[in-house]
Amino acid sequence: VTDVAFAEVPAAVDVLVVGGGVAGLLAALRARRDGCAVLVVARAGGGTPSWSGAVDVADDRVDVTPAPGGTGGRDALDRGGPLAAGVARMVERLPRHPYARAGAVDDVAADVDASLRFLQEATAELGWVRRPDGHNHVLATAAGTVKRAALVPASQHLDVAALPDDAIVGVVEWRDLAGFNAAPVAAMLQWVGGLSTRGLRTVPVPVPRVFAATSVFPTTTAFARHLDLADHRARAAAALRGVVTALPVRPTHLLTPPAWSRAPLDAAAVAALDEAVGVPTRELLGLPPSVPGGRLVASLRRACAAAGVVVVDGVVAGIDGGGHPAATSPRAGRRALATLHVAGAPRTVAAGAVVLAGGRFLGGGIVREHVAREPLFGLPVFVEGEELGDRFVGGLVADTVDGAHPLFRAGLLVDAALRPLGADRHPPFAHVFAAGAIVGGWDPARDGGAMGTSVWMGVRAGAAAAAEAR
Amino acid sequence: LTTTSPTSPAPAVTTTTADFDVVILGGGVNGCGIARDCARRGLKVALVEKNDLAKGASGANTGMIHGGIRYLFYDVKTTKMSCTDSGYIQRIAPHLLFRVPFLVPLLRSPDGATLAERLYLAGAEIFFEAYDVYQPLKRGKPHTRLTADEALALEPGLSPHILGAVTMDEWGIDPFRLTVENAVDAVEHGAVVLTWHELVAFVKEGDRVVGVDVVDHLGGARRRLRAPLIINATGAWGPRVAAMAGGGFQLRPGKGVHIVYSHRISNYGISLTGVDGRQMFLMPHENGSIVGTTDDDYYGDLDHPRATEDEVKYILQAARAFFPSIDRYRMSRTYVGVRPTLWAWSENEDRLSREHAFYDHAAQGVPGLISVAGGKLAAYRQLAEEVSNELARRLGNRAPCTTHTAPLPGAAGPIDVDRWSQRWPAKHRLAIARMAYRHGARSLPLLRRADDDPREACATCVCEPVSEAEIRGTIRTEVVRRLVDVRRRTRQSMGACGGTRCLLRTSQLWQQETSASPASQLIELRGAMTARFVGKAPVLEGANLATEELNQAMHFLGGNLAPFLRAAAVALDDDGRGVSRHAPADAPATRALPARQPALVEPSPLPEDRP
Repeated sequence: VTDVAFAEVPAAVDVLVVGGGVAGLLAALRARRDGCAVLVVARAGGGTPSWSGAVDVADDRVDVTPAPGGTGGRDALDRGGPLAAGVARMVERLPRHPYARAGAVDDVAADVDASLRFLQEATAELGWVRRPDGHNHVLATAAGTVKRAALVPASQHLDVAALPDDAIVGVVEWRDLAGFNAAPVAAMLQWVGGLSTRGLRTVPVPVPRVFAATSVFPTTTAFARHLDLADHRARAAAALRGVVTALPVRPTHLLTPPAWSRAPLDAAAVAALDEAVGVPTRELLGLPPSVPGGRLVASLRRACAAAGVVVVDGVVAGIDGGGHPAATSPRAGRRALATLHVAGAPRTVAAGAVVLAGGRFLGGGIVREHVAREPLFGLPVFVEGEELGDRFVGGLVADTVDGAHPLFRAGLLVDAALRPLGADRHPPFAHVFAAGAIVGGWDPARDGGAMGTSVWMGVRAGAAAAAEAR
Repeated sequence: LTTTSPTSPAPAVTTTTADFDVVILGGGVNGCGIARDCARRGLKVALVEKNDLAKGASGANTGMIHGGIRYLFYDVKTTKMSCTDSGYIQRIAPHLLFRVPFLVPLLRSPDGATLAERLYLAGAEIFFEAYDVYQPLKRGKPHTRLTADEALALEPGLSPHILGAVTMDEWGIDPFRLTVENAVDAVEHGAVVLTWHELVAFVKEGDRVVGVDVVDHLGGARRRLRAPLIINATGAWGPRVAAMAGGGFQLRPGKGVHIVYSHRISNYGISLTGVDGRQMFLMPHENGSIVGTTDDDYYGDLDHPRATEDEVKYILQAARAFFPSIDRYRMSRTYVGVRPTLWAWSENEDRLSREHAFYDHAAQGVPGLISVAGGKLAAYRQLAEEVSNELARRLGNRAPCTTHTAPLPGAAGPIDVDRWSQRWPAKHRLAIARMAYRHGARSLPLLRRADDDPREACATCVCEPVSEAEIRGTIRTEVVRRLVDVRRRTRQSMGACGGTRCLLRTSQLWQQETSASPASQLIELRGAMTARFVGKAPVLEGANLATEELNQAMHFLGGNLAPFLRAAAVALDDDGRGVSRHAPADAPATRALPARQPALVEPSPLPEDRP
């Protein structure tokens, strides 16, 4: 992670990116590739550190059909077809989705595909795996469910839909790790993964305490930090090997909580671990707070540092001209003047273009305190095509937690170039763009393809901002 | 029929027909209190609850064993009874009580206090002097009058526009624990407690009610429970239940809404006055603060009451007037209950009596059924004693009432947080202290679970906190049948994050402890998450909205649970709210109320010779 000294914050940049999640960092990298001077202001937290590890692009959530007797999801192993078909289905099903607002479906699908390649190149150290046919992988999560995703890092690449029928999947339970029991996860995976319907088996694999002297029953994040020390990962792998070897029925594959390492594990590192354990061992997709999420943020920030993008941890306190139509002055005289707070000190930065990528409610890109607002430019927040304003939140949610909640589709309305719109449905600023969860019309948690949508918007907004700024 | 332990996850009745001395309908604090009292007298007791214990008003109140100062003006009897019984509850459940000193601030006009306001403060003091008379009954301290400066020094968040304040000493309690410990004690004295069992029909011989037919919502099994006396203690549902037997009585059900804050936002309890002059409270409760309550006539859906926009605004308006800093803090959820207030015509909701009454439906030609109406949390034990006295008299049982002296389960033994904290890892001291508050002496077997698996000492719910050992233990020993039941017994998922971090994990522990199927685990998770969500929905503002976005990401983005929750719901025919998935389609509809009001059974007087 880059730590930029206060003195290194430039006084003027071509592109200012507000938000240090996947959308913001990719927007910065993309604008940098076009030669822009780029500053990213990253506030703590946000959605990306909660990322599961896989990039779902067009998981259009075909409902799972329970098998008779309630013993399995038959469609759970369905890959959902090629990427372009998935994007097309999402556009059809979700008319307000950013994919649906960006132009012809084929062009959008090609653009999405290009943005995935951009991510793969920028963070190659994660050892991304993409199926040659472009279809989704089917991956197991730490909750015991399965999830479709187009891209997956090498350390998490175990496609349960590609397992042979005689596979026995062991779910590893580290007794050094608090809060993860393999038995219920294995049982869930067998049921929801539809594995039973194919005769596959899951078994819990409990590993006795390896680090009895030092362990304090950590979370996955702390456990990963622990495994990064000295020879700990090798010791853990050896212990796992011992347990697996002694099992009466030996698993053919192992799934472990996503805590092998805080550093990226490329294909060679994963192969070395397989060698040490004796059985192919992959990480489950993570739940927040997630080690893979931390790995992605760190990897993107390393890429930024290498490319010369300045990333500072701070807060954009305000942008001069924000909320005032006068800021839409002709190109020549137009500059956004942002006041930053970095390490507690104010700093003013002039920028030719701004990318708003501060997330939704969690990241602070949208604030709702009895009235909804976008805090920097005062842009209106929309929900289902109407301004959210002070509408009662209790009337914008479904009766059950897993229902469709309009409230969680709230956000900025954007045009095809990802320029946010004003109350008159026109973009008040030619030089302001938005990417990621701050853009409304989609529910990242429910619509599927959340990570891919943010990757795509980030890359697209970065290209648009670069074109506008230079 | 044999005595069963509360550890059984399955219903405790071993045959489809069983005979009892009394069947109690309703697992609120009154029903559980009656069950405990009767069981301790040696009566054979069955209790039937269609949801979980303390699901209704028993769990959705302000959590106070207070003296009912509110009623002093027009209902002195209730004040005295409440204070007396508050004293008894302190004796039988000291671990569950916590002192809540209140400030009663009096606002003044912004330009300076008017004569009327000064007179009002003087009058208030006379009022509190009258209340001081009852304070010793509940080990309360007398009031103190504070100047504005003194009050602001104690509670800096108060409005500066106050003339002064008066202090008032009250007691808080965990109402869920109070109810559950009554039920557990009843079970340990031979009672059968059937939660998630709903009344299908009364069994009659001629006009006489001789039993009930009930259906188990978990699995659909039907059971017939026979008894010469049936007690209808179903709270706001009471008139409907009585009507199913051909009897009837009227209530003035009142909806009460509270808003919960994510942590304690004031040093003291603060008495508020609403725009309409009603008294409300902002008070520390457990690890958070609560503010409320509203009181409005309610004739809507009793099973799914919701806080409305108006109610949230009404509460916040009052809170802001007295405690302007409230907007700086994070609302985490609301909760709603419906009071079974006694019926009266032409009275404001606030002025309705909090007394209780019993209706013997024999007067309507339906012998064998007695309904309990009204009452309040602080008087539950008194109500239970009165009902049990009447039941014992009719059944010829001469055993004395012991519920005012016999400790509840958690109070029967030493509680030593300091020693326990040394014996078990010190970093879990807060978890141990909170566990000791909830389970009292019965924390010890929970702590010992960590000897076998040290990981069980770790917090599963970090907010409250609740250890894995406590969750596993409560599932085994405290009449838990469903995942949502764990929350009411441990406060798991009641804290700041609203189950974001612990609900999936707790559903896995529940699955392990009950050997339920993965589909059932998903159904339970969906129901428990929805129960949290509907409480949060009216106050999804600011940081609470951000937290809920993380909650949605946790379960539906990272966990990708939505399609599988739906698949499980289809497989098991669940409506997502954790209700009635096995309710019979042919359940009888509620009949219209009879025109005639039944005769009132006079409550037996409280013996005066008790300390």
